[in-house]
Amino acid sequence: MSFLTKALTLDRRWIFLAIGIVVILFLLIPITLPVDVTPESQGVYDTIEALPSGSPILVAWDFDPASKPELEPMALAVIKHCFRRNLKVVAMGLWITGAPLIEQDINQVKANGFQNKKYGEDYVNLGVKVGGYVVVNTMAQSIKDAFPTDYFQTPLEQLPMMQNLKTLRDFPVVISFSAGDPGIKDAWVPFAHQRYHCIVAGGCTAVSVSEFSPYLQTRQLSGLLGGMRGAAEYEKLVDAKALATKGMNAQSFAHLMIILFIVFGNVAFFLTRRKRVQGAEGPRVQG
Amino acid sequence: MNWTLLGIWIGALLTLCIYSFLYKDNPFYKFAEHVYVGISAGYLLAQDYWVQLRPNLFLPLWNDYAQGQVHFGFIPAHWYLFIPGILGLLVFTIFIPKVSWMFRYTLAFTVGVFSGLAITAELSARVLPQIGGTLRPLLELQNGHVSPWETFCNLFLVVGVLATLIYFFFSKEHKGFIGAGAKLGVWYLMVAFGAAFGYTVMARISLLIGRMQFLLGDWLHLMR
Repeated sequence: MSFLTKALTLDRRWIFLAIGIVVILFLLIPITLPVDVTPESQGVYDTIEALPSGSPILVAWDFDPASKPELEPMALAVIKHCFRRNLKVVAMGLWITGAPLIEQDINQVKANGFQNKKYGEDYVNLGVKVGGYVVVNTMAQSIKDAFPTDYFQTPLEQLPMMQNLKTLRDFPVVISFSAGDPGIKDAWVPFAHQRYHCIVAGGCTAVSVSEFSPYLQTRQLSGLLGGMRGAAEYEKLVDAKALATKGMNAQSFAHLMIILFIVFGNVAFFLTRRKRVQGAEGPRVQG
Repeated sequence: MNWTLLGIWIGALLTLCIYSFLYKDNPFYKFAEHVYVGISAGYLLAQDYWVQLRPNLFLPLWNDYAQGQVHFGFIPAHWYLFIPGILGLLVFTIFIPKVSWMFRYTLAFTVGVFSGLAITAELSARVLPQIGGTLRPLLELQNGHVSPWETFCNLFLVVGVLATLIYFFFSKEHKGFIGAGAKLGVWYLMVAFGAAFGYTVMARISLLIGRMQFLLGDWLHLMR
């Protein structure tokens, strides 16, 4: 059996091992590849930057721990940006399994230079409510109807920041980090943007980028962070390089490895096919 | 006891158990899989109580009775909360064959509300704006001059939409003009599938990176 034929029947576990080694290696080697900011990511940054200091902003954690590596870095960078711009952050989520992530992420950002931010005055965590676009619609009538209490079971009327925030229409901008449905596509764009005229931007997992991109073209989304790359771009924009920037090194080299595997696999397939075809035709020619 | 450290160790060992499946199916993987399913179910049940049932149903009714906000001595001020409460309970009739038909009321209510909201939203947010987004000028002007790149992009988009629609038009045999259009549509579809697959690879590698960052950073402290 030739080398190429052997390569075509290679046990897939060797490919898993190779990808694993490349990822581990380039997470440990301290190099930083350049990250260019795309107009889609710039759109999210500009949307937040355009808000006057002290404006309210609704940020939705519409993901669960399964999508944490892609969406959490962008949530951290966006919250850092909001705090830096002194925006009043109202955090919430539509995914029940993502409830603890909101508190964890806000506390992480607070611990890194924003200890002065006070709960109830600078930010509020409403917690999670299941129901997708029904929740968004209810919030458009009354936030208190959708969230009678915050994450800590405190009635909303006891939180100073919520005194002037009664409905979804009080938020000029909604940012959603969306791992699927419910999220940007079926809750925030159709209702918050289309029906209640809020500006909607956000981030999504890489799998969803091609699905969400048409909303950028129609300007129903003012910006979109796509996967870990989008998170790394936002970390660059807010000058806070963290997990996504580090992860992009490993990501780039893993992609290179996969491209090499695909090219090698195709070359091997076509070369051996030619041999197979010649081998099959051989006896016929002689006969 | 350092609970965070214990959590990191449990997380790391369960991650290794799950990844062991890449070599072959084994008892460690099965153990981690069952733990995951069990904990997820329990967690969802607890969250449903604390996030949905307690603040939206039990607390308002409890407060009504505790604070004496009742009509005729027994009807609470939030009496209308009994309607979703009863509809929720009706779901459980599915386990009793004789009265399982009652489950249909809950189903009908849910389908009705969700369709009423979704149909208008679908049209106003997805169908119409996306059709509008496809109606592009075939000659794009910028400052009174034709912009060749923008014009090309618009043509590329419009031709792509038409070719892909032709591919999905099955009432006429794909021959001649229709056949050529369908073939072009296939090329557009292949490019779209390629882009989607590329993003899928990126997403999956990101998940691997996330786990490796946890193992190398939080667990082994090897990452700076």
